[in-house]
Amino acid sequence: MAYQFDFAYIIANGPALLQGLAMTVLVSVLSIALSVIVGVVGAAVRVFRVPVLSQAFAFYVDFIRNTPLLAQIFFIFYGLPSIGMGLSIFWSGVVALTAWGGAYNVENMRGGFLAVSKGMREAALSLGLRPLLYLWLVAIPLGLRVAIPAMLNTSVSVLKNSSYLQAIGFGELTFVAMERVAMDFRTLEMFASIGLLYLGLVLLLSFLARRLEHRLQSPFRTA
Amino acid sequence: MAEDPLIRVRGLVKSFQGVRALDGVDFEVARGEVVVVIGQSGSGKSTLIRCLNGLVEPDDGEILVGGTAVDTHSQREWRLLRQRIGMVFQDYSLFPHLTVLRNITLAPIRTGRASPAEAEALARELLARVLLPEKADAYPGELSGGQQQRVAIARALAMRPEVMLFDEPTSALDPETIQEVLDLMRSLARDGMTMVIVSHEMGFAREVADRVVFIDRGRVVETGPPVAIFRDAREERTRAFLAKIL
Ligand SMILES: Nc1ncnc2c1ncn2[C@@H]1O[C@H](COP(=O)(O)OP(=O)(O)O)[C@@H](O)[C@H]1O
Ligand SMILES: [Mg+2]
Repeated sequence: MAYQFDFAYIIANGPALLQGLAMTVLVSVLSIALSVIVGVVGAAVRVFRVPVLSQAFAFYVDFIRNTPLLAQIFFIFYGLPSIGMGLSIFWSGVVALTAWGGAYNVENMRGGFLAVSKGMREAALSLGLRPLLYLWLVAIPLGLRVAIPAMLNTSVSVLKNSSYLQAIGFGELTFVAMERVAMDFRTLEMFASIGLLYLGLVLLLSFLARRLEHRLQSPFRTA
Repeated sequence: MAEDPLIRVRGLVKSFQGVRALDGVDFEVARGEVVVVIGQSGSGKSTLIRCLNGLVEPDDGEILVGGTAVDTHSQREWRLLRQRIGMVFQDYSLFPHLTVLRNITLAPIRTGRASPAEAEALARELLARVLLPEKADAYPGELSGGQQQRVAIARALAMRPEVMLFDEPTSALDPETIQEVLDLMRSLARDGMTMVIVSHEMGFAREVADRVVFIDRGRVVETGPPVAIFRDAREERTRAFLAKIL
């Protein structure tokens, strides 16, 4: 007997799916924004060789990139409370995804900074600007242009990796799907639905990043 | 009594990984003076001029600005001095993501020199002066090399510096646009701006320099008024260099 794909089932679970979608969007947007900030700060610290902090960021990046994300999530949610730093499910999720995306963004932004010529720094300093103003007004805007495609990849990964948060009971899209499936066994409908929703989110994110990139590039197009 | 030179340098030494770029340089610039520094590629001209605004930290020697010794290790001290010392680079180094106007107003505003309105008024005045009044809203990438260099000069002038340093300002330019930059520098010289110019433009040097300094292998070999250098150089090395370049 052919499998009966049940659209009505999806419609009936629409509200729950939308709620999961909202949580996925919320945790992803927050984590992506924060991980960009972590990336810019970390890369600046690395590129300008700020003593101690530079080594600390190098260790952080290596640690995150060489351990499984799920272990990192468990560490933050189950591990930190034993040293009195317990966080809610929601904030554990934000911290875990930010830490993960931030590590990759440190490397992405480092590449961006390294692409800014030494002459830009000398020009800024020669005008009597403080190094931090050079960073803020020149190096970051120029470096971001270069780093955006790589940061988009990282951001897409953060969005997709938010589904790991279901392992600590975070009520995002995948968690909602698992919960429903456990009750109704309509696996095909449920996972097809969330697959499409994730795909839509990724396409939207790519579209927004391309718009941003286009805007940041506008001074250069005429060249 | 004679006034202190605006910039005086004594016994300047700088090595890069064992290469002596400066080997005991004495050098000075009086207020209102135009000094053109000449010499072969690799002789230490850039290193010298970059020491004068702290982009290069000398290993030894002293630098006095307005009669006061500079602590050459102090980036803070250099930062304040750089607000009085303009610098123009061979490759213009305009900020490509900012409009011409913002390139010029950035430093006066961000160093607290001027309000945004004052800075903009001055920038428009300077753009008229460098003959690019219609380019305020253009991006550097939309300008020719010569136009970019004129904007870079306007950007440095916007800090109202006491002295302008130029490191081969026309070396990256197409022959057609070299003259427009040299014309601008001539007019600055006429207005009494103190200038130190590293240049291979010997005709220009002869015409605007009050003094020419010939550098070879990190040492000042000879210095004097243009006629004395270009016609009657005393040193063999100076004559050999000029014979090659002229
Ligand atoms: N940042 C640097 N690192 C290493 N060597 C340098 C650096 N800057 C200059 N030098 C060396 O110092 C010498 C003088 O260079 P420079 O002052 O640039 O000469 P010029 O401007 O007269 O061509 C050259 O041998 C050059 O290779
Ligand atoms: Mg040079």
